[in-house]
Amino acid sequence: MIELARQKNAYVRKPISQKDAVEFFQEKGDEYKLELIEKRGGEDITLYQQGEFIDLCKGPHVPDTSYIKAVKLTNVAGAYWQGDETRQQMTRVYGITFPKQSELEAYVQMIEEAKKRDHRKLGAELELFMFSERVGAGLPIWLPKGNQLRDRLMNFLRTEQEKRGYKLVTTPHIGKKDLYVTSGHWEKYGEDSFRPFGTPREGEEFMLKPMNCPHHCEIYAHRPHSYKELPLRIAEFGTVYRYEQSGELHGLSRVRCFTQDDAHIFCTPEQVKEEFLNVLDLTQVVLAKMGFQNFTAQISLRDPDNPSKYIGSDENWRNAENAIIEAAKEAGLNTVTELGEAAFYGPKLDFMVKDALGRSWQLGTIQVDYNLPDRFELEYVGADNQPHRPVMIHRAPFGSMERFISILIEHTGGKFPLWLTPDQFAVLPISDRFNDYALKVEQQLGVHDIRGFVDDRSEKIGRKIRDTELKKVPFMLIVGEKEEESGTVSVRRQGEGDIGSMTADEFAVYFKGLVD
Amino acid sequence: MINITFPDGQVRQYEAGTTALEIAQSISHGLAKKVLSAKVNGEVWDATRPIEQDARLQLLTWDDKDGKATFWHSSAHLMAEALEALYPGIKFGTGAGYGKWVLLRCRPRRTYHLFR
Repeated sequence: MIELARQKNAYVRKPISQKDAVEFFQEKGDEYKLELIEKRGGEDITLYQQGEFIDLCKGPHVPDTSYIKAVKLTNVAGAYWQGDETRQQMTRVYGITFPKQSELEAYVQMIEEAKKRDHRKLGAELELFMFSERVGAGLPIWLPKGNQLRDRLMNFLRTEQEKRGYKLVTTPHIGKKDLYVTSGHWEKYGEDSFRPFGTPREGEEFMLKPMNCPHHCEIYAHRPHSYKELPLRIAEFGTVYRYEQSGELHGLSRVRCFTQDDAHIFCTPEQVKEEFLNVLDLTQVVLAKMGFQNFTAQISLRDPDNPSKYIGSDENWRNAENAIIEAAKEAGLNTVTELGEAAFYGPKLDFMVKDALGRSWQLGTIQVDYNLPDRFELEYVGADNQPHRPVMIHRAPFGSMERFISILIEHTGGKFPLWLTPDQFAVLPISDRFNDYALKVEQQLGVHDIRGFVDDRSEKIGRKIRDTELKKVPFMLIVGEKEEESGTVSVRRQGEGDIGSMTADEFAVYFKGLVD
Repeated sequence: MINITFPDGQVRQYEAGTTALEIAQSISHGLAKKVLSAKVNGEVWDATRPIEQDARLQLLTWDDKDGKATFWHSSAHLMAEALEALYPGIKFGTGAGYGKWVLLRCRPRRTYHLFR
């Protein structure tokens, strides 16, 4: 390819009539292109030629082949023509090109590093989660260590939300099919969902919940509200079920069952900006605590040329769009604005986060919704004593626990921030004689909410240290005769080595100092 | 003469039939070397395609999403050219630059065992 690229052949555009195009490809005997031309109907057809190669193509192209300086073929896979399993099998060739050799090298290095950090690999090595074919593909099973990590994340968010006036609720994992007919989700996503299931009673149909919003709308609707009670912030770590094609499943990032750190804020139109500021602040606190420094906010607004596509009054949209833009500005965020990217039911803001490898992820989303309050006929009584429709805001700083943890694993390479690490220390007795003392140390640290384990295997201490390092446990507390007599532990820190002896209480103080 | 409007609102006049690449050259030689394609009235065009009427113009480089897409699309054609040179008679389905991947579907004649 590079040889051909160096020939510096121009990419030449050739508009051509459909008849000429058909003749050209008939002569070449290329039934695939003929099929594509036929599909295009009477549309204008263009060919592109560079060097000896001519192809049916809409363009556009770079001026000539010499722009392509670095090439690497990466993969070859089978594929079906037009993605149709009943059609001819073809070969798909993958590659990557760059305008500079140095960019290709940086890319290859990034891919290598990404492979080492793959959350599926680290998740198994660190015993965080597993999948079982018997349970079903795409259904993550959280093992004790992963569950601890997940719990710590949820506890952290729970505390931050309580400070900001959220009320935590719990709703069932299923709901009547009618609920989703009312919400409109059945019509829009019903075909791609897990099928509704029946009960012994004829005609009764339930669904696994694909989202928490309809349940939360019912919570709002269960009694009348006055404007004085708003905003109402209802939060739930809600587990949802969505059917994904098996080919789409990928570790924790694409699953069929996941838990959203969901909340719905019901407020008056005037409160939208204030609530956005509140959520932006929360999301920034969350991302900073996780060690993500580099993020931008992507604001998705209406397509100005196509206002009829959207539900909700023009005035409400303008208010909400301005509120989002102003709030993002006041929060000091870097923003990118995308016209026409808003959902039909309201504008939104997504946090785009760059990880340690420079890859971009969408994390944390805040979305205005004018649709569900309408469908559920939600109301509040205003200062004028008249009924009004509240605005609903969906938000999830993590997005989902599964997706967030997958990104966190790859961002940190499995070396989590100290406060999140499932095993914060390991006590390593030099021999079996000191196992009892080791257990005492573990219990003493447990009182300070510092979690770890005792390696009581009858292995040599060198082996225990190596194994603990592999598990990326940040602190090793080594205990032998000297330590037991003086009531201390010898502390080793991952990557730093010995940092001296101290009592368990002194270690607890030292540890807490590092976390805060 | 035609009026070309740049993204910053500036308007300049050029001969009808001028290409985006020529316009870039009139601004700076360094810029012209970086131009991969151009957005003409919101549509991505070849940088070498003549512009015949008044237009809004945005020059696209490697730093733009659409510039990268053009680059990878051209790369797919180059890959096809290389495959055709190696395996005469090979037939191609469709190719595309998806994100960082250049991919191409092809179906060679039966005599070549390398492919299915």
